[in-house]
Amino acid sequence: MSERNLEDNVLITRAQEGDRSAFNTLIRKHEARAYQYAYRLTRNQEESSDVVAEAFVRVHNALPNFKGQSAFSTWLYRILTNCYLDIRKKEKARPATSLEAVLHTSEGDVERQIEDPSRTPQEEAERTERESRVEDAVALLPDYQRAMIVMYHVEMLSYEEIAAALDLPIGTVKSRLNRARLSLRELLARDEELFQI
Amino acid sequence: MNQDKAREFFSAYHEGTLESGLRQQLEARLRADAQLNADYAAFVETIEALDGLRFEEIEIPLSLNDRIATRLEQEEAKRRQPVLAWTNWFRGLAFSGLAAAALVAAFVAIKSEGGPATAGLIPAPSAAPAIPADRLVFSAEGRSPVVAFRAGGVRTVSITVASSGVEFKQFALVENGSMRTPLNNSHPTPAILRVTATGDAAGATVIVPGTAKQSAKAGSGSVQEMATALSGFYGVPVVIRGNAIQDVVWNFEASTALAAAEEALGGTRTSVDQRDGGLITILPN
Repeated sequence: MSERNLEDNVLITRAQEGDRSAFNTLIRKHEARAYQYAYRLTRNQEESSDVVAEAFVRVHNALPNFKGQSAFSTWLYRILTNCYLDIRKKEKARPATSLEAVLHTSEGDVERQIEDPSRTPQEEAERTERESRVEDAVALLPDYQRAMIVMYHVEMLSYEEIAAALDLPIGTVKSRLNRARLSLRELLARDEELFQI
Repeated sequence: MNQDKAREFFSAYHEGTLESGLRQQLEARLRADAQLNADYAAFVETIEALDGLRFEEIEIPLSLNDRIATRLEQEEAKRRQPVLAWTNWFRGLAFSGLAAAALVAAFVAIKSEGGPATAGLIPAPSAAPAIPADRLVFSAEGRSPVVAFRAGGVRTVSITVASSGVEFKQFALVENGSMRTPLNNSHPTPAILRVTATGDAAGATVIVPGTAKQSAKAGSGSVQEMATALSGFYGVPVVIRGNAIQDVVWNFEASTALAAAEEALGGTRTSVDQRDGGLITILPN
């Protein structure tokens, strides 16, 4: 067990015993990374903050039942992912303000999302065209696939950690990630004339 | 092995974890099928592009701490547990980058005399202090302000977090019932509370000093902001009665909190005194 995880376990035990500063410390340790993960899923600052805030509420409420069978960070990833998926479900229940091209992938149809308003023109210019296309394609993936892609390729979680976070067998994680990558490749192929290798 | 089956093995092949028999089959298929070979090359480019996303720098908003604390407070307010000050300690999450006046005290604890610290009717104790009815009375015990109230009828005293309005303590009193409560702040920065009572129209803003001396000694802003800075710098509790809304300028050079407050408030329509154990009281004239 790494030192970082050991410290988390100590903080969790103290927080479970009512030590408020321990809970504060736990949040301070993990909030930045939690936000970065949420942002990579939502590509929206407001929504990312909502996801993180909601996640820590759930952490607080469920902390008495946390047994330490997985690392706290893994547990937090699960909660963040669920908060993200819940928020996305609520958004989809609202009438869409615009409907554009529907893309067909092997995992089903995905709607093209509204352009992320939180990215400024300068930020766009600073990123390479290639990264921009990949990001846009990731944003078009079904929510669950997107979460797995971000967890593996951006957050650099292992297959085992993703399996623990999503409560899935490792074989399922590997096959779904492969499918997500293939879906992404299909999405990118449609913009191939603009995609610079 | 058809093309669809072959694609299922792309990730494992790329990672070098494909079982040797399947690997040989796949490699044979890739050699024989130009389209599949091109698909695999494109697949690898996609993986490389995905791996590049991790280098994107993402700025963490300064308001994130506050957002988390607010959300936790809202959740706790829904429950309205009678335990001490759960809502306030979440504000301990808010750190540098936010003005001290905007921080709400964490770790504010209340100890009530005469019974458990739960909302309820508290009868007048036999040795009740001689305080006038229907007026919040403040004093100090060291760094902690003490609020007392005697009810001239059925009354409610509420203590809320000033910035969010979240109530974390309420006393319901019968006629002649009384309460007396010190406010202790174990957070490093001052806590700003609002105390109101039915029967006392003015109410009061109470600033409880934190455990760490605040270094900011000069500034400009509202009377409340000055009082918060004063409390943090000199380590004294401050009470502002009513609403003092002027803007003031301060520079704490005086050796005492009272002198510093008088200097800052000179020329305004407020008066300031220090009594009752060291409590600074600011009153609109």
